[in-house]
Amino acid sequence: MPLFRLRLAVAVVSMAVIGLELALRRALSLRFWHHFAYMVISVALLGFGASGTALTLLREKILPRWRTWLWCLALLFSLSMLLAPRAAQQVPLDVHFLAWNLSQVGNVLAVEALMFVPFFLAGAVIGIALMDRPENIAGHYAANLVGSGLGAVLTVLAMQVLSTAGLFTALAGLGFVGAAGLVPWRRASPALTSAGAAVAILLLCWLAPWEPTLSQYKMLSYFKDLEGTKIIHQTEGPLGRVDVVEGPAVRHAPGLKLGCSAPPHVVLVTDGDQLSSVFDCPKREDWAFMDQTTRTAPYHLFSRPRSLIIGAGGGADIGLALYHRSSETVALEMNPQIIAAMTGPLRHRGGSIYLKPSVTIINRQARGYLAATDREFDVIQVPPVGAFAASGAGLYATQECYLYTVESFHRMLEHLSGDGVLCITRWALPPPRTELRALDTAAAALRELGLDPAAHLAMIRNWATATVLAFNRPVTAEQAATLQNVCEQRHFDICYLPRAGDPKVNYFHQLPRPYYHEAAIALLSRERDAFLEGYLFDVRATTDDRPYFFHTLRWQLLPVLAEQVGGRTPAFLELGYLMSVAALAQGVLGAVVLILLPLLARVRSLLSSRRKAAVFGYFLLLGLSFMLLEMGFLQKFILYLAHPIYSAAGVIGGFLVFSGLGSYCSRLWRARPKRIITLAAAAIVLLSLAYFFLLDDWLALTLGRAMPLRFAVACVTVAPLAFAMGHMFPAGLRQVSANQPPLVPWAWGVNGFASVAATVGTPLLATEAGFGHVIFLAVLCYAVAGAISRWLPEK
Amino acid sequence: MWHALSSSFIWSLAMGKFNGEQKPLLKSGRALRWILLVALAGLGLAQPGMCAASEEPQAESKEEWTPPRFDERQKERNAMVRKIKSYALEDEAVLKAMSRVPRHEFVPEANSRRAYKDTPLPIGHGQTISQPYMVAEMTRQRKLKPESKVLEIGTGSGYQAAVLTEFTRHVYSVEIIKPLAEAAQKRLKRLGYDPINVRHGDGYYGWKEHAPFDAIIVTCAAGQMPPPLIKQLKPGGRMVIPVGAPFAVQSLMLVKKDKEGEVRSRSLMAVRFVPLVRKDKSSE
Repeated sequence: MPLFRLRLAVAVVSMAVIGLELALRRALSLRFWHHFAYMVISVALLGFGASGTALTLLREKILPRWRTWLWCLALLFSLSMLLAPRAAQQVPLDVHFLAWNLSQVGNVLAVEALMFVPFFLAGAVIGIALMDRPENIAGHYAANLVGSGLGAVLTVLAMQVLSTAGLFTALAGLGFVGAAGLVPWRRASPALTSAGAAVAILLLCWLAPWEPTLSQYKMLSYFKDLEGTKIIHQTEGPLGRVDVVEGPAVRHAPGLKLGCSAPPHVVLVTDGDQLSSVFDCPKREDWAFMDQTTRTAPYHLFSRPRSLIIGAGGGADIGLALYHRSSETVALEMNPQIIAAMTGPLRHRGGSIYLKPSVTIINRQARGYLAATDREFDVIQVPPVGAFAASGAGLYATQECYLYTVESFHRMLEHLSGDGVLCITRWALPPPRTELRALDTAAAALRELGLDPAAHLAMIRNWATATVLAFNRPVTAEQAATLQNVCEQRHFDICYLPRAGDPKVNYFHQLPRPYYHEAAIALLSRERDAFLEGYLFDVRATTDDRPYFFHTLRWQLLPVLAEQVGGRTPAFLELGYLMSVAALAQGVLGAVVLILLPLLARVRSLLSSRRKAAVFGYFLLLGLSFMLLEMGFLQKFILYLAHPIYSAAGVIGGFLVFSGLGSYCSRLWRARPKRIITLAAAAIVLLSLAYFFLLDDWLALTLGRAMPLRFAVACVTVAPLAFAMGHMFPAGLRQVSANQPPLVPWAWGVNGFASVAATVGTPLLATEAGFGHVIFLAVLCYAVAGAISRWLPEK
Repeated sequence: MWHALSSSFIWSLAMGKFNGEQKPLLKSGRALRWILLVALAGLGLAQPGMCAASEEPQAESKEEWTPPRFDERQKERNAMVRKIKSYALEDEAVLKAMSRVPRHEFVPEANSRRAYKDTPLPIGHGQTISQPYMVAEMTRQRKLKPESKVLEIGTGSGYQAAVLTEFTRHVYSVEIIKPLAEAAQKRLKRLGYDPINVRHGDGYYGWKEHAPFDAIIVTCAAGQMPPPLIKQLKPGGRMVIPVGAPFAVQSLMLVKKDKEGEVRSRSLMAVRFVPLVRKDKSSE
């Protein structure tokens, strides 16, 4: 087989497999929530690791007919990309019942097992290609890397035009192209067979299209069950699928005063569950209903405010600003699909709010926009994100959210005019959690600016929402009186309001005690630390280092919670967190069973080998540290690249390409492997520490720039580190291979096991301890691995 | 409009209720009421959107009705009640009601084995049968009397409605998902819960023909409180709303309408939590 054809096929298969990772993330986010994002990466690594083990054990059988194997496996890989998502859809997994019913863990396992298949097959294809003659391996490896990097970028681009189902079909098609390239030369029948199979299967996809289903607990599923519901528009992109739903019983106007009704509307549903209503309000007065929400409060302090809305969605908050005669309204909307829908098909159904002369819509994320502008606003409005029920159930517990952090609020406060007000609204959860965290986060941001939070903050609530108001200047008596009046008229309770005389703190929506008032007083006084220490939930301010705003459960206080709520305890367990724990347990178990246990067949040679402890330790630490750093950066770049899917594409692609380049170059240096390892470890430690201290400032320089530039900066940023990291594994393997060959499969196995464990463990570690600790742990692992390397086998 | 008004008026006469007062305008009892009911049906005055079997609350016509009794799996029910009691819910009437209603009949076959676990269970269409403890707590909060009239928004499997009949026979339930409404209707009939009136329709509008209600339970609130429901709540009435996801109800909200018609709400918190200083825990 010509080398060029083989390498092209390897590149294409690599491209498809990285595309598959991103496509599965998309499909599973659509069906469930974001929980499966990290699980997909861990399953992919598990597949690659298990295929490595299998090839090690079956090497002698495969080698004589390796081309046939290659072709067959590539064909199966393509087929599995079509079949695995369809089969996974048949698994009756109800993520929500995970806290109540352990049998759901089996369903999670089944979904993982089905996702595992294509990654195993792809790993086997690439692995067999790398069994070629030693002089060819470097080229194959380069093809693998180029394909992987291209796969990440092209898949994100493909998501702009293809639906999720279409993406899987396209990837399968790509896989068939790869398989066709691997047909053993001079044999026409396999070529015809693979081409025939490809045509048949793609034709089948076209004739019987597959549609990803949604969890029956997503709001879109519920709406579809209502009579007369119609989906009047649907669009899909990398940031999610947007459905516009209309129907006689389709309603969504949360947070209104009790008994207040909303005008006719349709609902924008993102990924089946994030709702935002598009109200048909032709006249300014029609928006009066929004004046019955707690986020109306800041507008009553101005006559013609300049407003910034963070998250325009269906435009309700723009309507509120216009109702209050906002002189200029800037509204940020991250998802271009929503902007296109509002200014296109929904233009005559309430979408015209985007087209008002005083309204400017900007397709940016808040942090990026604020970094790029020096404009000031009288009101900065942060409406509640995340569905009420999903927030309460902890579905977002392990999701990074850089909107509600001290750094984010700090930046917003800097963009307030002299009398400006930052208005942050959250769902009122019983018992209060994220609402208090929003207050503490705003207080921390004010403290950073040298301001006294007790004089600059106010908090009000109704039965459904709580709103924190952060003032640029201390609250005046006049402002306090106005707010008190607003609250009285709209039946809002005051949680905290400086300079207010006898506020109603627990009158309209009563709690057993004025909990919000007591908590606010405590958080804004010297009792803060004692309060936070004693409070049943973690409501401490969130930072960019640990941006898990929705993770409030304190596991160490679970027994106390159970004592207090008894049978309701599972309702307080955060589902996002539970999913991560389940993924960790299953990932570790899977790695043991599929990667390590099969190697027991070679246990005799292991026992007779020297220095196995050093080999095990070295490769275990490498697996852990590599994935800790990669996953840490993946999470860290979500802020910079504005969305997890862009971050995944940039970081996974960047790490694969540059670490692969490092691996390739490690063979070119004349130094001994141990010397290379020492130098690489030192470089990694130094670079990581530099990143730790300088990365935020470095990225802040271009945070306000356009996406293509930021994507390029992200890739360039990870390049030196990934390049150095790429040296460690092949150099170590060369050392072992030259001196203790029986240990090579074990080195692969242990490394694969650690990679899987670290992939699913990193989000949990970051949730509990923050990214700083993740980076430090990775650096420590690399440093120890570097130190251990001196004990690697020698002649 | 006249159609609806006249329908409502005749119905009120038939049931001996007018303007929310319990004054029997016609004393002749069953026979006369049936005549009027038949006349109503004949005139086609029933409201659109109702299930055929539920257009008329037939059981109201029966003077004496006692809820059905079931022996099957009684031991498991008793164990479930003991579990509920262990959460400091000690209202004997509520516990007795919970021990009488056969939850396994309201659970899909696949989950029947788990019917008496204190967990919510899926019933299809993204809906759940609530955790038994929550059903007990919601029932307790409504403080029902035999003459209380109750509206339930979100029939689901019909289990909550069945529990309510242990307190009052005037139970009205609206379910927006047609297959669930039809299944609940059949199930309740089969089990002998005749007085429960199930209607397929949009719960947003309540059931104005039978308003006002002493108690309303909304099991599908999504951050908005339908104004028609507040209107249909009797002065002094109570509306109970579970807060949180259907599978993760964390607390209850109670909406009360006072004699002047003013509405206020209360959160029945799940936790005694502020400030929870652990060293003082024993003293709380």
